[in-house]
Amino acid sequence: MSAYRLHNVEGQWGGFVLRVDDFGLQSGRIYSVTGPNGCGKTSLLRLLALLDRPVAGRVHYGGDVVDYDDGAGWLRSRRRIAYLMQQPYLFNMSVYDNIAYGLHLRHISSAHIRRRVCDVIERLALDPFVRRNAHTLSGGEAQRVALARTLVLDADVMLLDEFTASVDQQYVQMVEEYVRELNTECGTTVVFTTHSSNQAARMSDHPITIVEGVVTACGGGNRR
Amino acid sequence: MDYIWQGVRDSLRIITGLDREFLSAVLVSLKVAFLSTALATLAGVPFGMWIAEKRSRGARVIMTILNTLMSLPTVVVGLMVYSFLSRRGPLGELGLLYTPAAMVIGQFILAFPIVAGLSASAVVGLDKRIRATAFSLGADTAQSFRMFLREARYGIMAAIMAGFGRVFAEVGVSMMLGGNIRGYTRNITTAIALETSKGEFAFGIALGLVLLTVALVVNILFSLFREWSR
Amino acid sequence: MQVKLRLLCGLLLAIPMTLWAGDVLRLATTTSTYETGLLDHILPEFERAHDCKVHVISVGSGKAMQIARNGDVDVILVHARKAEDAFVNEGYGVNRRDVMVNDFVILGPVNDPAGVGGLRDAKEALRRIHSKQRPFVSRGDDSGTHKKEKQLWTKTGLKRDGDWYLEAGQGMSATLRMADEKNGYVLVDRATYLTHREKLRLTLMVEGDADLFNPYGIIAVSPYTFAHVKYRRAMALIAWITSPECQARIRDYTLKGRPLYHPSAAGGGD
Repeated sequence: MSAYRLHNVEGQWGGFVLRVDDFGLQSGRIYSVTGPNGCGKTSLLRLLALLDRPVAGRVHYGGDVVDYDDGAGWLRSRRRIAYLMQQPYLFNMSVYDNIAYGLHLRHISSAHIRRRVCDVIERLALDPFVRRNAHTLSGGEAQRVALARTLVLDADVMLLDEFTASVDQQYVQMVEEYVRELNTECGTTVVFTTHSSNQAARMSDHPITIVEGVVTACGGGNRR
Repeated sequence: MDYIWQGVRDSLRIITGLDREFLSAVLVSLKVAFLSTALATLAGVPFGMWIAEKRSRGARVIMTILNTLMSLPTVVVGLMVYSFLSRRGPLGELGLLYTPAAMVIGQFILAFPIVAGLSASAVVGLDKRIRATAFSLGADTAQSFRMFLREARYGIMAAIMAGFGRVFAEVGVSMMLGGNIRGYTRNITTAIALETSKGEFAFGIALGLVLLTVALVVNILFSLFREWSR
Repeated sequence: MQVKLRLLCGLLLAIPMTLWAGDVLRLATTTSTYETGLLDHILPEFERAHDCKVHVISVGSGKAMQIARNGDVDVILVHARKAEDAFVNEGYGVNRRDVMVNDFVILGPVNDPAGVGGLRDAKEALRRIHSKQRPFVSRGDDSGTHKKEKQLWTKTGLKRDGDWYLEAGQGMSATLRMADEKNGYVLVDRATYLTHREKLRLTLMVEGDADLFNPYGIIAVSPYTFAHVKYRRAMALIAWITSPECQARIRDYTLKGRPLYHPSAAGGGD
């Protein structure tokens, strides 16, 4: 099944242009995006997160063309995707409330929210500071909370921008395992960017490369 | 010293006896100050946020003007508004001079620069990623804005409180635009001015105590709010 | 959240409604008639009879006339005879009526360093204060009392410059208090003096000069100059204040047994 299909898509951010000629992503797979700094990894994730509207081309998501003019429909599609920013900001509230925020936006019942938040807190070992204000956390702790806030959404697609960049070394394995588990058990499609070719190889069989602003998927028969 | 103690004792009697004139002055003060602060909040907070977003030269000029207006003497505002509201002035038709509405207008002009200016500073100090983060988690425009407001809440509350503090304690505008009419436009501060000039210190002290109490209550509410919204 | 919001909106809407006062008549008057409590003694009956509030704006006579010249009040009660005539002649006021009289007195510190105690001649008293350069506190606010004081000084032909001459720029009561604190001399209407007598260390020095006569008049703001003024209401107030009943009330208004004003409207009083 196809999660994404991008056709002649062009995105523009200031002077930077990212081009995707014809490119598809299968659902249930883990894709890694590698490439030098500034090559457009974050831009690609923002396009896939449906946050930024391309200046040209068509984006299919979950089989349908994304209609950026239909505000409600666009928002609905967006809410099926979880996106972790490269330098996420934690809101000035408790760790718990930070994690629950995205679920509240999706109008999920509070009993359900509690269960899912507690679940992810346990999986990522956040218990020690769950009641603390998020602004009092260290960099590594904050990164894990931000990751928890994204993973708790239980979305169809997870877009993770440098998700272990500032996670403390002893937790990297735990985080990676959890992401892989979500992929295998829930069938979540994962797209992550990384600087580490090791991590790319470890986590994914489906590398995506960006060369001079042009996105290419290769290997493993991604091109349909 | 006895003289002052006598005043304090008499003032307590006035407060506990719920003297009608005393109550009326307190109510007028609260009413007018709340209303003018509410209006200044409705106009000033969005304006301050808007100006904070702008990076242009014009925006910097406006910020400088706002900062200057924050220390505008109340009597200057009084005079300005007076000349507009007087029957001889451009808005004379409305017949607003010497009404609480005139006081609200004057106090609004006093509070607006404070609320707007301090809101702008509060927003400028915020992290630039707040709205983007909210969007990334599935918020729509209104929800991301609500989160932005939430993040700015302490600064904005402080801005509103500073505005309220100024109008609640000012006397110039109330005197000039309200006319100190008993039971109608006489508020705490103009009553203190009048009673002191008549040598009725007890009444003045009683009102001063109320002024202090309200300031205290507002501050306590603010810290409770901080505590509660952590 | 919704409920709280609705409550807040309701509150905000409710407040302005209480700011509306209904039918009102605006009276600008001197600080003295207000601060002595006379108006509280005579206005409530009028308010009841006409079902209308009288909003009293208590300022000096000069300021009262200035406010009236802008059309911001409906009627004035003042004491500055010459200026009142000018006010009427310039077309701002109509139907001036005498209301009452009392007199001015000069107060001074008990030890009387200028030696004016017991004088009848106000001009002579001012001359002595001037020559001894003793503190003299002036209203300095163009009120009726200030106008009277300036007239007296003009008649003496003396210049009032120097540290001893203090212009308060405030109402009668505040000026009295300032004179009291400064141990200075001060010109004051008798009613205000009697009202504050117990709180003052100053004592009565000069009284009884014909120059110290202090007549009060009431004037309706002209409906020809300002179409919006409540002329009929103003005339009703003038009729009430000059009526025999109200004139009797003015006569009977006493403070600790001492009358403050003598009614003077034709046909009323004594």
